[in-house]
Amino acid sequence: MSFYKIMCGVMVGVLLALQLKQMGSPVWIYLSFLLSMFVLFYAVGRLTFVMEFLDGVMEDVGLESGYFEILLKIVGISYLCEFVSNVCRESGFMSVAGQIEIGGKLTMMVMSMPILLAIVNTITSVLP
Amino acid sequence: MPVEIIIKIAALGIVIALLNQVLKHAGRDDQAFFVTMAGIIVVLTWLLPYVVELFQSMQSLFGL
Repeated sequence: MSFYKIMCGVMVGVLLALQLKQMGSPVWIYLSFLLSMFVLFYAVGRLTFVMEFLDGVMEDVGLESGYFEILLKIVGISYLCEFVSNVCRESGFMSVAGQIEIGGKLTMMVMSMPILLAIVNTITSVLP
Repeated sequence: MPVEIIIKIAALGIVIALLNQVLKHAGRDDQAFFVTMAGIIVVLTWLLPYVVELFQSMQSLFGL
């Protein structure tokens, strides 16, 4: 599906959700959730090509791919946390959104520990 | 995920809002509540497969 079509769908959906909100229908929150999911769905589909390309580059260059996988996971966690916290914020659950963001940051920090350890090891091996 | 589902959910929402208004004016508040509840359940059953699909695709893409 082309980007143009996705944007048209989102535009129509936002106008309809606005109308639903004014009519007092409880479905508008689900419609807004569906719209954000709709965009992310196709963004993830686009991202698949990028990921395959980067995997190919990493194999050609011959870098150690363990760190690349960690980087990939961190990117995924940040996308997921942003999406879920935005949905929570839209529904009015501000504190839940804040906690999700903090949890995502902590998880990213924990997952990036091996990279930090490798840097520290490199520095200590260079130093006399 | 097809674009039609946006229109489908919006149409259902409009129908629910209209039914709700009509039933409330007729003095049947409990039936209005049940209609709203049924609409929300129908929307959720349409939505949930796509939620699962999105999260599964993200899981397989990023290796989470």
